Amino acid sequence: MSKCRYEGLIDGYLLDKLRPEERTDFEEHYFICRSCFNKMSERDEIIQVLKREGVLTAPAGQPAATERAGAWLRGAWAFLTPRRWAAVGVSAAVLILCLWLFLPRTGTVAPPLVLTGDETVRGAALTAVAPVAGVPEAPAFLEWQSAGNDMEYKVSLAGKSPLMTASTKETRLVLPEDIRARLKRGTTYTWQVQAFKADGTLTAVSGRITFKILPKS
Amino acid sequence: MEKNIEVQKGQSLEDAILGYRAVISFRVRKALGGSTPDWEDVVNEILMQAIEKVKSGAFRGDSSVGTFLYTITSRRIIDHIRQKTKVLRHAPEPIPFPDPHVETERGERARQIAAIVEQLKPKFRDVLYLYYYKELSREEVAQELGISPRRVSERVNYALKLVKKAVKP
Repeated sequence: MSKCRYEGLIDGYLLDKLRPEERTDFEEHYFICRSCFNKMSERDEIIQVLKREGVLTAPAGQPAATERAGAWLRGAWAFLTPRRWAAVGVSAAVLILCLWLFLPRTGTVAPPLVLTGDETVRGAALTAVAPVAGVPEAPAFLEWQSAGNDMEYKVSLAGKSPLMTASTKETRLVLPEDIRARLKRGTTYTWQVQAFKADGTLTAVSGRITFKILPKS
Repeated sequence: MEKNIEVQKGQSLEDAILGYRAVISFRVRKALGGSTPDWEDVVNEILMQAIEKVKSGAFRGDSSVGTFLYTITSRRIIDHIRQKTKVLRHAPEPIPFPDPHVETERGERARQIAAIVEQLKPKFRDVLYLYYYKELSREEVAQELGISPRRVSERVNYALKLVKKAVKP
């Protein structure tokens, strides 16, 4: 029995992947071709079951979150031959060299400081107290040294993405429980404090302080 | 090669039209949704309209029966959707009463299919998962599994064949 040329469209039709004109053409076709209609009905019945939650699971060893990244990497790896890899490496090195040579050098911009005769600023940087480096548990607060009287501090905390930003007049910020709950062992987090005067002038900034919640021994 | 469905010898045109109920039902359910309670009524209306046209001589046999029914079905679906949008939004929908016998049989077959799929080898389950559940293309499935697109097609077809063979007709 020869195969109908429309059979190849059955999956596309049932999964709504056909172009509109293909869909219309196929819909008219299965009104005429009993073979295609029967095959399509059988396939539809099976697909309805396959699409139910729990009938099928993701392939083992390929967590859903990295499926596409893995497929892309494998595709890229297969695409690049040794010669192409060498060309990519040389191009990357040349690009980095050009950037290093020709881009203007910029240092870190010091925060604008407004001083009166009576005021002193304790250096251009705020000193962080805790947490720094490794900690045994998720920290309950962030603490730093005072930058002066009547200051407002803006604190930022981030992991791989920003977690929170908050303002306080104290030299300590208690972390909300929902933020603490999100801090994971083995992950490096970064926080920073900025000090503002009452008129909104930035007067001091801490460096970016990193800490890590140590794994349980 | 298309296999045209022709009126069997001794079969009236009306009977031939009624034989298209399954095809029309599939088309209507796909357009309106199987859970829509109206779909059966729409199918009956289509069949009645087709038979009336045959009796009145409006259908002269210029096209095949299938094409004639496809045209009526498509128009009726569009009309139904247009009419539905005019219905009062807050009017309660009638609760559908599915045929218990049909539902039992359908449910039994679905359980059989699920049981057979569970017994398939992982390489077949994987392609079915990626191709039908995740709806990836053949090429994407091939990249994901590190096999050729042709091998993906072979595994999908073989898996479907195993399932169809094992499910009792």
